[in-house]
Amino acid sequence: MRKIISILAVIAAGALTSVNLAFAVFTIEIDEGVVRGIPIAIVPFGGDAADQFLRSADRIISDDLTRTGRFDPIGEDQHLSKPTSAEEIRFVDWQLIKADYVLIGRVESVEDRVGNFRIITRLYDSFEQKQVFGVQFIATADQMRVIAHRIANAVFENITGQKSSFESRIVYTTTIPNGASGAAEHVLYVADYDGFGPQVVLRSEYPILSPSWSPDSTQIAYSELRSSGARIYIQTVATGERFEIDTPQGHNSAPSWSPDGQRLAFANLTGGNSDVYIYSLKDNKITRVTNHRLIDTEPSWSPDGKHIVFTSNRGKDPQIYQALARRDAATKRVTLDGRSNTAAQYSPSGDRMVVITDQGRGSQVGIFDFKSRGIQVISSTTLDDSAKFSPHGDMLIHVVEGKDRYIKILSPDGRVQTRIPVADGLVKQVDWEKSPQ
Amino acid sequence: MVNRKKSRKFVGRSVTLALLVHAAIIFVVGVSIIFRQEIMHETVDSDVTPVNAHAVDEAEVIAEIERMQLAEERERAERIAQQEQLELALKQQKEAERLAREEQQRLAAMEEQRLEQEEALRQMEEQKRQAQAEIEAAEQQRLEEQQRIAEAEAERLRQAEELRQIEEQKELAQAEFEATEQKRLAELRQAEEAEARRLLEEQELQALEDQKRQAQAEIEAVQQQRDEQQHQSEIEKQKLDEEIEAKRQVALELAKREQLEEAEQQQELERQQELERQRLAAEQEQREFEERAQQARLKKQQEQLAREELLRQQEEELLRKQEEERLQEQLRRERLEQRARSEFSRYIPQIKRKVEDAWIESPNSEGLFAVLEVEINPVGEVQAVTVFSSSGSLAFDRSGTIAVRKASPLPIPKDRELFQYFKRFRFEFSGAPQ
Repeated sequence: MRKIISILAVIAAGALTSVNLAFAVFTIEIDEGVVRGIPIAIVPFGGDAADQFLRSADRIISDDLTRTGRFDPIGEDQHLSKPTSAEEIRFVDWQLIKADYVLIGRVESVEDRVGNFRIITRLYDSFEQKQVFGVQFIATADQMRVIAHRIANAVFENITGQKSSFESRIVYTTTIPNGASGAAEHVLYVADYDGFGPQVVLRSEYPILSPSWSPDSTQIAYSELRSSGARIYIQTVATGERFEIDTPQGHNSAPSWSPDGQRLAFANLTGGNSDVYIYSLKDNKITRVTNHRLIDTEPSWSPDGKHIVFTSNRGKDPQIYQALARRDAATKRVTLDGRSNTAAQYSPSGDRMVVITDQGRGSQVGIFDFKSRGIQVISSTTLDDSAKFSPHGDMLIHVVEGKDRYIKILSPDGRVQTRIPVADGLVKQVDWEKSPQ
Repeated sequence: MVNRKKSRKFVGRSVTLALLVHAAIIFVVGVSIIFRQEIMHETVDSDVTPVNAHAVDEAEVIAEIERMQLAEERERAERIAQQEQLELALKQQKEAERLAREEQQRLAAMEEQRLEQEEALRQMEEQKRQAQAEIEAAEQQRLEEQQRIAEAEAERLRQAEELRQIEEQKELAQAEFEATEQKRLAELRQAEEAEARRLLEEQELQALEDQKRQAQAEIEAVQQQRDEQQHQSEIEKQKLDEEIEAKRQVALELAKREQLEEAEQQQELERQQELERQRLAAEQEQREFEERAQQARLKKQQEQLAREELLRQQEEELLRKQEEERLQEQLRRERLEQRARSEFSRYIPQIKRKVEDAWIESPNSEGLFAVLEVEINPVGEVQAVTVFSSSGSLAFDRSGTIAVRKASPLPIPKDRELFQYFKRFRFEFSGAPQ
């Protein structure tokens, strides 16, 4: 018996040893995913008030998500079911059409508050079969788009972990050749980022150039081209009040707000020579940053406020140069590739710049990477101008020149390019709000 | 056969004794044997001799006187002879009576012995019956024991103890039987000795007979002498006839006694044969009983041995099997691991490809690193995905989780044996630079 026990012990020890000898859990490295949109099903909202409110909410949300290039909404025609509440969800329906996520919602009237609606929406992970989030809003009918963008933003944030720019605004300038007075009219519009809800900030007989949002989103700086020269104005969006800043003689243009909102960088063109200056809003002092016989223009602040990049043709072809944001700063060339690189703007994270680059095909939107020092062309059009990052870097916007001028939103990888509506006239330049309200 | 031999030996011994006795008698009587024998023959041969009548004359008277004188002499001699003969006969009779008495006593003793033997046989029979009953009881126990065989070892030992006791009892019975048998054999031997004695006595009787015959012969010799000396007379003849008759009577008596003895001997032989038969039958029975007991014991022993052997074999078999199984298991495991390794090199790229195809990588995930652990079922379907080590970005972790889920079922070897190596593994998701 003892012998048996000892043998059993040996066997047990052997078993343990063999367990120890067995493989460790093996690991597979996954380092190359696909670049494509996340499949998401956005089910048209249900509920008793769905028709009165948010009739096209699913469309707004879908467009928002699509523009970032991060999502690939699945068309309604492919949906196998149309759930509007948690109880109606069948995950297999969404797994079958390979929808990673499903967004559903209901809109109901609020009985004691006429004109108010309750919007309940839920996002599900159809493979993990879990709800990702559930939110509820009370809103009036005129807040429809805001609510839709907010839902899209919630989806984006929850899935990508980043903030979206769906609730931000843009500013753009247009020229209406035959205005109310019969002469050409120049208008400054503020609109939702997707072009909806445009509002006139300024109508002018003078061309309005290079609009620029203040960091706090309350003001817009722009240049008005008068017969005496271009002048820089700062206008409060909410009130329409504006003032002109003290600038040197000549044409003053391309105002750019410092990140702290205390300074404006701008270009001054005098006698065929353009240089970069800084205007201090605190003490109205002007600092000349560059002093070169050739053109230095289109300044843009780095997110940390230390540097200014600008376009210069001092190296024969127009290229992007960088200087410290101080008097007579040393400059260094930043962009090296392409025939020309102009109109640079730092990305919100500061590691990249968007430029208008000419790589031989025309003017295109390109992304310059400070690390690789390479430029990646992201637009498919060749008459691009005025390219700007969205406040969270999830999209870019630019103007396409030509006969039919328009505004285009690009995903950062350029995979998704969507045209947005312009209120009126021929769009000239555009800028994106820096910090959405 | 043995007995016959023995009796022959006894006869020989008896003859020797008889001869000795004979010699003694011859010495005592002191008469010529050869002479007597011749007379005896004549006497016996001329059974009845007619007496012839003669003419009487002077001479006849003288002859008659001489004859009378002779007769007187003869009468005197005859009286002496008769006296002697009477004394001899008396002695013989006394001896015969003594012998008969002794024989009677001996027969009575033998009867007693026989009765004792019968009693012993009966007792033996009884013991045998008891032993038989015990055997049957033991047999019963053994049967019951067989039923209980799977039960406790203690029970088995106890039964073994009982069996041993039974066997001891049986041995005791056997010993008793053997003692009885020895006793019986001793008795038989005694009987044989008695028989020998009897034969000796017979021999003695024969010797006496011979003496008698010698005496007869002497008497006849005297007669012969007288015949030779003078003519035989009718009276003489008559007397001789009477003598002869008397002798014949004695001979007849002797013959009768011989016959009786023979019958007795026959009876004794039959009785002995019967005893022998009984003894043989008893022996046979005893042998059979012993054989059965022995067989039962042997069977029991064999069964016990078989049980022990079986147990030992089972134990050995178990140990051997366990060792074999362990070795085989080890070998199998090694082979399996070998196979698993080669299958890894085949299937890991396939799994990687499928998951990477399903993974929608976040554009700004550079530097993010998450480890997900996955559990799959034998057909490769993903059962659970858990974040083993988070990247810090919920979205990045989720993108990996969804990728693994969507890649389900994962390509794994069809071989179910290898499943254990594939049922749980990890994915390391690394965010790529843009």
